[in-house]
Amino acid sequence: MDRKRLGVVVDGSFTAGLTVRLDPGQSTEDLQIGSFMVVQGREYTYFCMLSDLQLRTSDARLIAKPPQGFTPFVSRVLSGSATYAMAVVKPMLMMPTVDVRDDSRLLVGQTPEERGVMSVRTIPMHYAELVEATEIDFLTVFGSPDKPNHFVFGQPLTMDLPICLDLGRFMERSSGIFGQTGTGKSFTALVVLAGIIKHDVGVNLIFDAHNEYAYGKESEEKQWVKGLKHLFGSKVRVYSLDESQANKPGRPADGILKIGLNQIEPEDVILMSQELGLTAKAGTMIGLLKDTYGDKWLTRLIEMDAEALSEFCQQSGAHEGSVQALQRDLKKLARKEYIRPEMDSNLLDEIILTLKDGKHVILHFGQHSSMMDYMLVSNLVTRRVRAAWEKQTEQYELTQANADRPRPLMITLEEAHKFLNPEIASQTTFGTIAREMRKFHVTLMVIDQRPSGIDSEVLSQLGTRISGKLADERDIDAVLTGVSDRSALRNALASLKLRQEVLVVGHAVPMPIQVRPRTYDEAFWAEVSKPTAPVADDDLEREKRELFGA
Amino acid sequence: MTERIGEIIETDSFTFVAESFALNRPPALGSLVKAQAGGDTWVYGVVAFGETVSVDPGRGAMRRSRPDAYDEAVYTRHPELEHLLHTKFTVIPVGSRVGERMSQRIPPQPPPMHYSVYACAPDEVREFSERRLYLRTLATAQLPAPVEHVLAAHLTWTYEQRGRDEAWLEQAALEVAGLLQQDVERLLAVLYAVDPEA
Repeated sequence: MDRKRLGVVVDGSFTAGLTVRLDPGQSTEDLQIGSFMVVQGREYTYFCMLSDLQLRTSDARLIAKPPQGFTPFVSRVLSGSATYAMAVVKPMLMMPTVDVRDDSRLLVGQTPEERGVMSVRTIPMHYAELVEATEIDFLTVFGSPDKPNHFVFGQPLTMDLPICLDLGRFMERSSGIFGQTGTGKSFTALVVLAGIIKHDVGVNLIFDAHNEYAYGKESEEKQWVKGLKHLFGSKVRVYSLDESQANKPGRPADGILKIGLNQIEPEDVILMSQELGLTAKAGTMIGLLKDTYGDKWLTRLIEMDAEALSEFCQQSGAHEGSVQALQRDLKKLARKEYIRPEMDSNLLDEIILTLKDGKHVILHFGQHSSMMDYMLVSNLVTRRVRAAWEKQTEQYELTQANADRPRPLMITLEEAHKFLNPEIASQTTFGTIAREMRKFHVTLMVIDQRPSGIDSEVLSQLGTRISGKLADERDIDAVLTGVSDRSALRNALASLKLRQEVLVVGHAVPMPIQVRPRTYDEAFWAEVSKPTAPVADDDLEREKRELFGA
Repeated sequence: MTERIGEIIETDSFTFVAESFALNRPPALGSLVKAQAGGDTWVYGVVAFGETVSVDPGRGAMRRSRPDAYDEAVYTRHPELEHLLHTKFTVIPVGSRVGERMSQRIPPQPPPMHYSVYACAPDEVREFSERRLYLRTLATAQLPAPVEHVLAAHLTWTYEQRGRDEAWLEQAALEVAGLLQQDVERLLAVLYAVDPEA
């Protein structure tokens, strides 16, 4: 397969990338920042990302006084000689050069490493050729859908061929889906989640803040799309906070979740300081209450009349006005429809068992979709799930029995900056998960439109990042926290179209790539919801006999 | 064999001057000519300059026309002018041929004095100009005329000889653009002059 030549390497460095003089006649307008390209050195083939395009002239007079009245002939000759273009490409991976006609050899290996692809350690000499990447280059680097756990996530921007995510690797570390409003974050998330469920690489716990994942939603094209419950049926269990909405036709819920005041911990309340309007001193007072009343601290606080309250203040030395204010603020919580004075933990335990059993759980908020509901419930549920997984991991380390091995669990979290902003990331369960729960097989998939609001320590732990267009410089910086070759990727990120284009960076792909994610449509639904294991011929024969007689 | 058009009267390694057999009619500026260099060796060159001067350097030409006899009539009235004036052209060697082997290297020896200069037939022009390395030799030579005029004249002439070969012209223009890219005014002068679309 011959690759189309674009230019030759004339300058460059390992750190800044290779400068390529584009061939005369090669227009910059045919090249897109961020695209995947190949440089053919003498010994190695380099897989690169186009990070910059530059216009140059050989004579300053052409800049000071641009000639006028060109005929097409003159402009054709000038472009590519006195006026010319340079491309800067950043090598990301390399492999020993093999005859590209020997397609078979390139595709045998299961992983990029087995196919001979390695991280880049050198650069080619002058006049190495820059060529367009072909299908075989894409498949060599990104693998084909027949490799284990490879899930077709989308297509490169300029070609029609599959780009796969290695879902096994995706689940190994926390990940993030970012992009400004309207870039299709939730559809991207739906595609990834459906892939994980289909390939059975782990279990999902999804906090469905905006009621999008369980039962689908209306797309920007005003089409109703299916939710994960519709696609996967009993493999996905939906627990709803909203009694009135649950169990309407087409929206089956497997349980209605109620929260008892006794289940709410000081941590949950402090997390919501902003939403509840708590003062900075609230933490101290909650501590005092907890010391005095234990698990019933919140119930007792809310039940206190004026007399009991002042008695408590005298005993504990707390300021009476502040405690009154705290009581007032926390009564907002008690008025929620799904809050009960006291609950046992049966339903929460059921959720954990469901997850351990390999089924996926979606927490559906229905009409209780204020930020306060969302934060309270997610934090409360996650704390328990996390404890269960920690225990399971300890058990597994003790027995080393395969049956005790915890299933990889991924928690999908919308509006992640609310839980992971620098002020509280160190205190919340989610912060801990993002930072150190990998060894307990729990990871986060954070979905957010303001990644700059997320603690940088958390961001740097993200394995795979999928980002749509971002306009704010700080958000772009945030997405690329802890990633090498940031300047090259920054351009790739900034050049994305608003819709249906994302940049995938990190653990689940061998090198960063711009992708058009798959559309979440009928064809996709049909593919993911068909059974994985093909029905054996014997079974078919037997069925036929039973149906039609021998 | 093509037409003999002149005889070499000055010669060195990088340039030779021939006297044209036709007074006032040197070969076209920029045209490809060849000189006999003994045996089956030929020197190819590009005409870079042409002039008509007095044979005796001490006696310059002077006015001969009258109100009722001018231009061509001057020569009819003064047949001796054929002997008092001569037309010379300067050629820059850019290639050679030994037997059938054509190359774009300049010959090791200058063509001999008093040997003949010939015009090149279109086929020969086509064959020689197929590769364009000689343009570099021409552009960097010590020329008696501004380089952009010689290059432009050569490109236009060759384009015509090759039957208005636009692909060739564009490639050659690109080559020249590469050679003159540090001096854009000269480059534009060449491009405007050779532009077949203008």
